[in-house]
Amino acid sequence: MSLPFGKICRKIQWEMMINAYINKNIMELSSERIMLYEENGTREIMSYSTSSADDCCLYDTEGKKHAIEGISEIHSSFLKMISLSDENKRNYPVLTELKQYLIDSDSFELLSPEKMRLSSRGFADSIGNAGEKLPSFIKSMNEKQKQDFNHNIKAVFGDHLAAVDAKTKGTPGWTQIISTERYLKKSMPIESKNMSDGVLRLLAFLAVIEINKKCITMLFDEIENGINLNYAEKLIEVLKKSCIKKGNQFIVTTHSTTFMDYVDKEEIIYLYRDPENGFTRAAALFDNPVFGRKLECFYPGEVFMNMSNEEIVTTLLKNREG
Amino acid sequence: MKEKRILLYGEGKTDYGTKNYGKITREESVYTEQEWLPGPIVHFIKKCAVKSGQDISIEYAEKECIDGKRRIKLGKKQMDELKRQGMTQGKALPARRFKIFALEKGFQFGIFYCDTDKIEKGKNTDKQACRKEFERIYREVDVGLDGAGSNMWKGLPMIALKMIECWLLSDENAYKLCFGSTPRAPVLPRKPELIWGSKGDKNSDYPKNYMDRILCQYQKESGLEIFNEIAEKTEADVLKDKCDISFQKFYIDIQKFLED
Repeated sequence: MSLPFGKICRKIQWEMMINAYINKNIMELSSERIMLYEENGTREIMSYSTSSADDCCLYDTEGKKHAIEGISEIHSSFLKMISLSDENKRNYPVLTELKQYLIDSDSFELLSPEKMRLSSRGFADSIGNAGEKLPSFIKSMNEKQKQDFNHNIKAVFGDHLAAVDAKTKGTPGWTQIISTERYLKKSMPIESKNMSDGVLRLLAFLAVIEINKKCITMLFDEIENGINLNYAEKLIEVLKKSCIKKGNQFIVTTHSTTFMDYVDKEEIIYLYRDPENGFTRAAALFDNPVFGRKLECFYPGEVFMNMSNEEIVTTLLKNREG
Repeated sequence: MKEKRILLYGEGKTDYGTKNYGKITREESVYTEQEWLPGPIVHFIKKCAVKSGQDISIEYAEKECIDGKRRIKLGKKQMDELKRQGMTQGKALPARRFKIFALEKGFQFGIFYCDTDKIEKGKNTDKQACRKEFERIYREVDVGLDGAGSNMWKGLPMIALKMIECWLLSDENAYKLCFGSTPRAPVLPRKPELIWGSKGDKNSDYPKNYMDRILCQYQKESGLEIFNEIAEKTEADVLKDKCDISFQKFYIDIQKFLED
């Protein structure tokens, strides 16, 4: 995979073997390897194996091997065991940058309008996994962030929704989101407790763009949930602009053919279950010539609308065999 | 010149034809000439092709695949594009589906036939109003056949003002050749595109009713076979002069369409 961590985009190969002990309800790392692709070839920068004499090896910038002994069971990636000390940053810059990138990257797959609707307290530098800190995050935005946030809200909602901000009541104070809905003859303030699920989710997506991090990856699950599809085009446009501006990457899952229509074909990966063995497979769908040709007259989502899952999977499997 | 393979779509049996149930063994989406009983517009297209010196072969799109249960589904983005051009009603949608269907089936050329049918009440015999309506529907179909996509595609609207019967009521010599004499009672209309009347009144100038009365003189009835006979004997130049709004437009367009 190619990842935008550090100052430049790097290509790494990351292999991991995990043993699952169902009766004990635990998983154990059996082996792990990270290879870095460089101009003059690939080199290993980390390896771990329970079956090797040197349990774990890190390779420094000169390619020198440093074995780390005495590691007992590991239930996750070995990368977790590497501290972000200055010494490690000096000796293993790629590994530490990779770890920092993974720590900074955020997953918002549990966004809950119910939690976003509630007040939150204090300040926050993110919206929280479920969006529970959205009001606090909006409150924490500086002038520039708020300006950009409201600019994007206008881009998506038009003039209908304006002046989205956070308001704190009481001491020590609970913060709510406040917006103004504008109609021809009337404007009305709306508090987050009265906002619809779709509006809250959209505000969450637009707020996430203002998180003060660059060159990270953010994950959204089923972006279309609760969202009026008339906002799909503008939302994707805003997310794309943010990617270019901040070097961030959004990984978004969707079943919505409407959302797919607004994404470039190179950006679409299709996940499916192999009918023979149930393995989950991934395919860059439009690299397949059959689907690529369909883009002559269909937008990406329309290809899905006009084919069944079975037809798509059969075509992909045929291509793999070929 | 290389033969051009054209996909044709129409409104129904009496214009573009119907499946030849004796020759087909299963439901298809595209039918060859052997599997299809062509309608009168096929004769008109072939006459124009002869004039242009271009060899063509025609295949036929199954109606279900354009306007029925098996029709292509269009997504929001494509619909929004049509909406931006003011074209979400009328013929733009089926024309767009036809274009996509044709490209999917590997065709680079397609002809989409439809009628204008009636104009606004009270204006059905007004030439200017008829021309305006014809141009409106032509634009709808043209937008539908165009849109984003392959540079290798050429789609052509073929629109009868007001229905196929009007075109078939153009050349009196065709009737002489088919039935032995030119129509007398009634005679063919001077301006077939501008006739109109009440559908329910058999004596009105509603084109289908007019056609029925013409054919009655020869003890014939309207139908695919008769329409084909008349179309086959109709001269394209005569049709072009008598139907100088709709057929003339098609006649000029198809010459460019068939050019390499």
